[in-house]
Amino acid sequence: MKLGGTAQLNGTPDALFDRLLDPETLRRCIKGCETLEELPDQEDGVRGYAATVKVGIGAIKGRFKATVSLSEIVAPASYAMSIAAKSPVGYLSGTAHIKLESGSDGTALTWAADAKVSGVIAAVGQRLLGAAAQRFADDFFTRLRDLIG
Amino acid sequence: MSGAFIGKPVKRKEDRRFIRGLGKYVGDVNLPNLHHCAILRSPFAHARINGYDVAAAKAMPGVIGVFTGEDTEWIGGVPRAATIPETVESPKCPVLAEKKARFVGEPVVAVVAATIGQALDALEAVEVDWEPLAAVVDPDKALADDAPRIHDSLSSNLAFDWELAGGELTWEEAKKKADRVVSQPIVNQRLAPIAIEPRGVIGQHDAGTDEYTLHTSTQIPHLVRTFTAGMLGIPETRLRVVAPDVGGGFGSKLNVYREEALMAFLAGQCGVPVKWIERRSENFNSTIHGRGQVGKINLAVGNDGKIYGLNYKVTADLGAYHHLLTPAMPAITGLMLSGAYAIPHITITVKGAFTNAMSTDAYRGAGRPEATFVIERCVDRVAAELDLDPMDVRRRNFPDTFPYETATGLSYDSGDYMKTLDKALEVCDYDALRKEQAEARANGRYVGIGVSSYVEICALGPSKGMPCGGFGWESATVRVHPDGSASLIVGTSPHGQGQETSFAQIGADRLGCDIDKVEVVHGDTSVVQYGVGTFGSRGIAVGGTALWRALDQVIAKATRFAAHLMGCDTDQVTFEDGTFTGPEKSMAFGEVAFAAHGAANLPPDTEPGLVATAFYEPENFTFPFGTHICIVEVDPEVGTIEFLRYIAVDDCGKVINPMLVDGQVHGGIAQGLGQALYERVVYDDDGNLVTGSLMDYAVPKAFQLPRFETYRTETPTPVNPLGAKGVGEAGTIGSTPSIVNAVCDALRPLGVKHIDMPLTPHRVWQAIQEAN
Repeated sequence: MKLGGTAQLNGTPDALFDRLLDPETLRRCIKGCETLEELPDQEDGVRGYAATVKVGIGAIKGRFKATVSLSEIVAPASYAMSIAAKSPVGYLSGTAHIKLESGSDGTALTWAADAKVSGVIAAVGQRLLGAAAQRFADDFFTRLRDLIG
Repeated sequence: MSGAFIGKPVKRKEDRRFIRGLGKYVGDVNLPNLHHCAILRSPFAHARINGYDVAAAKAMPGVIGVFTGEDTEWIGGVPRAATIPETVESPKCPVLAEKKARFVGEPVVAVVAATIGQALDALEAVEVDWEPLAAVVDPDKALADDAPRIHDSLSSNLAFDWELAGGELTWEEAKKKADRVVSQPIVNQRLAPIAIEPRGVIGQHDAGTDEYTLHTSTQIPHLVRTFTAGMLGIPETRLRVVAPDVGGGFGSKLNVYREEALMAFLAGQCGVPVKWIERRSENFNSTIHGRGQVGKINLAVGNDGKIYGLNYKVTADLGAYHHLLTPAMPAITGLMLSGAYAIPHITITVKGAFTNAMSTDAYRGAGRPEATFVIERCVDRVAAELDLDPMDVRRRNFPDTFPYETATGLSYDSGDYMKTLDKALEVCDYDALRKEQAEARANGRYVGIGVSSYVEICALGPSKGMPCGGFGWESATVRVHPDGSASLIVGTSPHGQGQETSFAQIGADRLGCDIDKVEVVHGDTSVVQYGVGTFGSRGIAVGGTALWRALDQVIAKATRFAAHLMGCDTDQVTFEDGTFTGPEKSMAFGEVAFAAHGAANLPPDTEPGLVATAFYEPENFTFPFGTHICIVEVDPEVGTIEFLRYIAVDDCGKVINPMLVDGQVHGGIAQGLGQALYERVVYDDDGNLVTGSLMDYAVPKAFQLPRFETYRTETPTPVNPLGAKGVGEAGTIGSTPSIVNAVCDALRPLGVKHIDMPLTPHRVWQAIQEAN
């Protein structure tokens, strides 16, 4: 499943970049996020996080345990993300590329992701998945905008 | 053969309990200290299992046991009984996945708890260390050199490569005689059988006697006993299998499933009875699917429509493992490819491909709907290419003498294919219809007339000809009680056919009593002698014949008693309408039954009692046939299909209960229509089952069905004394091609030659766009 989009955010890429990698900001911006911690002892140039996120898609609801790692970090312009998440309702794995470009009215954040799902969520929720993922992303940026003003 | 009941539309005796909600299905069976099982099923189509952590689940409230493939490794694999094709790769199909899971839904971990809620909660605490692998679900892609290998023990995903060729000509000779070869790629898509009652199993173990009991929703209780005892390594004497009321099967319960051995194992391990009731999502991902054949047919034909040869190459989507009859399904398709026609040469080549999907197996029709669709679709393509009337092409190729030996080695017992075709054409007023179609076309309306003349193979069957290498016979016991009432204890175990009525009709007519004085007993291996089961449209033709013969024996013995009691010779006694009549006296059947049990005045060399068991081994299959005509109108703007008429003329030989036959035909057409227009099991490229619920899998609804106009002709089979051929699957077999042929006929002016099923509006619309 391929997803992506562009979000317009206030502030320069410099100001935004660190916030996007900050565990507390991430925790507050991810809908349903119950815990999110940065993992120590990562390889050079890689940042890792562990999170639990409650997700509901239609009738399918579950608590995902996710590990996220960020790599290819080129501050303040871009980074890559890989995610592996599991829950009783299914598994998710994916990669994403995030790019920040400064513009006349702030920063354009462009993201492109490729995700694989399996389990109940893939069987029953697949029709709803694309729209749900898009809403999830939109919600993230709405919260981020609220947070950074 | 006729009487007070045979041939009459007697209302179903079993409906007295069914329509009042008083039936007893596995789900209704309750036992002291009953515990419940929930099964963790693989979320991945293909993944290694690197370990389990079940400690948290074991500590959950109510949980008394958590078991993985490491605990069940010793249990034998789910059996493959199919013996055609002869040589088949057959890797173990384990009760719980061992080291690797090979399809979404494969059982991985079983939890037993006091309530089903507790068992389901505990499932969420089970941790499996998965290592997902690349999956393949397309059967042709599965056979590519670089395809993910599903079974490490095999060198490829090819389970078998089977060819059957026969007839008086070779394919080369057939092509030489013919003027052209008409080809058509054909897909018989994967379907889900969807019985209204999902599967369910209760395992019990008596620690004192070390005996097991399984209640299971099955079509074949005795075969489940034989095979499950084998899997568990116990003698059959220590396993009792009970099939209580069964709410539909359509072949999906003609199988031996993992959960049967598993519940016996769990009951033994946990020391309590353990119940598992399949949820609908499990029914979709781990009850067998049907069809799943992708092939191409070539017909060598003369310009007059005469068929000289048939060549069919097909890849069968087997799923990840064989189930009971998996590889036999495409083989039966091959055997039945001659259809209703005399074809001098037939070659079929089947490649069986393992895929990361649930197994395919027998679903209503089991190989014949596939064959019928292939040949009937191609015959219409021939008619279209040669600009002949499709009815004329059919007439030109019907065999004219019976028995007819097909190029595939079958012997069609009896038939009159012209008769059902002519009857169908008369009912629909075919010539007028074609005129109306021409007028409609002139007015820009797309009306189509589709026909299907099918032959199918029923009354399975002679044991030596069975696709599982035996078990074609059936048994029945008639136990007359002292009051003259009788228990008919039959080996066939029904799952909705109404056998408690149809068999009672036979019993009541033969014994000359009221239908409520005979009861039909089935489905419990501790009560029934041995039975093969209800499938392959064999209930009446094979099971009914066993019953007929047991009744012969009982009546013969009762006649000896009557003669002795009336003081005359046996051959002086006639038995009619429940009364034995001698030269001077007469006696009611009940009086004789009482005397046989009282035994105070026994005839010489005669034992007390009035019980007989018969085993019937049929000499041949039976071959019912018929013609279905479907008339549709297609809206080319949006691709929707409207039924104008649906006419079914079926010949299933002699009919015991016309109402039950109509019911079978109606239900069969509905399911065949489902394949034609709506249904398809879809796995995405990663092997996720996308059609895993009734929201996503399009079972036809009542409002989507046309009115069925059903007619019959009656050509008795010489194979059995009832003259009955079988009708359980005919509707499914005849309907699908007639509907697709009708739609293709409607769109012929637009250049559409063929549309792959299901004919959704989108596909129909797309075919119109592509043809333009």
